[in-house]
Amino acid sequence: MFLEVKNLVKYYQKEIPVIKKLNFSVNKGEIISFLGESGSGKTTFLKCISGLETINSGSISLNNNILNDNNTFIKPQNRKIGFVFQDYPLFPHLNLIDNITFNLKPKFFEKIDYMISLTGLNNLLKRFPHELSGGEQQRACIARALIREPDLLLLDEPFSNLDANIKFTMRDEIYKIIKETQTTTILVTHDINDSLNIADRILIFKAGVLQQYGDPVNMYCEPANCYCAKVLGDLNQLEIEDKTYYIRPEKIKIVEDSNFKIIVEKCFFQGKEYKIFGTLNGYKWQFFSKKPLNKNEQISIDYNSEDLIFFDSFCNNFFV
Amino acid sequence: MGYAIPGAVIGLGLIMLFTYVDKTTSFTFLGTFLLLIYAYIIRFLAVGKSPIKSSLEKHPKSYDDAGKNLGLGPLKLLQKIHLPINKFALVTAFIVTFIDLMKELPITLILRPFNFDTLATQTYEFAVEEMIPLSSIYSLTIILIGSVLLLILKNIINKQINVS
Repeated sequence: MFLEVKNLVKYYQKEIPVIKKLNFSVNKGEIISFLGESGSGKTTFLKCISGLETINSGSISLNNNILNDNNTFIKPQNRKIGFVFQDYPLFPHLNLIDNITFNLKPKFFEKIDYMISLTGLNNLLKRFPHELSGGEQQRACIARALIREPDLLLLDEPFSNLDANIKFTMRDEIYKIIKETQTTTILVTHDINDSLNIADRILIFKAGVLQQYGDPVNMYCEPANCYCAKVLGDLNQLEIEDKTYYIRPEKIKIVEDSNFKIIVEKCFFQGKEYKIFGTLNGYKWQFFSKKPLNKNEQISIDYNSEDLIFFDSFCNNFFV
Repeated sequence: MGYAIPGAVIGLGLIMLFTYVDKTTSFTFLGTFLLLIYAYIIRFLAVGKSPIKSSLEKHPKSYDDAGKNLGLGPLKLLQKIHLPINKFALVTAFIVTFIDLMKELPITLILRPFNFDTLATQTYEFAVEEMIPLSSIYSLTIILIGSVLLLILKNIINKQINVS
């Protein structure tokens, strides 16, 4: 395994651990998405990996070298880890090219032209950070991290400050750059779409505990628990023989006739399809329709029983 | 706190304190530059500290993190990031404090070493002796130096506005 995290514990106050016994590993060249709510310890985790925070117990090893355990602590400046911070900290007294080449070893200088053309910054090299847009600053930070050929790239909510249009372009660009350079990457985000779009594997994290770690499709279709199910997308709830099941909106089919009748409450146009909201047996439901439906119109729906998701009874209250 | 206390009070207070210290230890602080500088620090620390503090608060902590991540140790971090990005604040703090120090009279009169004069003490001494033309040379020098420094300060502030 390229990156291996074993029993990682991190706390600022001993009674309230931020990360509790985290175990996972990453293969070389993989993009892992670290998904969790704000304040769930995602950034702290990245800081532990990069050496900006020390861990309280456990171990982190990268490329078979121990970075941090009970006896070892490699300083951040000696780890080969690139970090793209959430707030794009380009140094304000340096122009873009000086920022990218800041403290750069001579052997990496030959890659400047490639990295600049890859990030599309050719015409901006003499500009200072305050003269750049958010997207340009972000690309500069990515170029600054990648030019050093890091063993591991950490991206901390890199799209959170961007508007929707730039965000999609940037996400595609970053994915292209990472895959082209074959850089092992951990992307921290709270946006499920970012994770589903570019991650090879997703790691869901809540209250310092790993909830599920796997590939996006499996996790979406077979979430480990209620929290993962909710984080990964919308769910509809239904009762069958006194048991509570859940089903994803896109698994619902509108049919001519069935036992499940829904009165349409809202219908939103979403470009490709319409999103329909209604009530079935007292539960709020949502699903998609190719055609617009009228408010208060009664329609029949159906589903395949293998698409139903079932959790233990303790999960029932989670979605209320 | 020191900025709110009159210079004479600080000067007399330090004389009382260091008379006792000099008596009870083998050191002599009274009448030394060390004590004068200490008194200036108490009196003018706030003046110099404010621009530097506000400049430091303006810059996010992630500059430190980014610097470390890019391979800088603590000293290099200071030299390559903190000093350059806070240079305007440092120069501003120096100019503002320098102007205040140049004009300072009560502390200097009370605590200065023998045969040590400043522009302010010379202005005062000649004025007391009613040697106004001679006194005015020193006071005009204070005004001239102060004005030049203020012009430099204005330039710095304009540059800062342009940058932000």
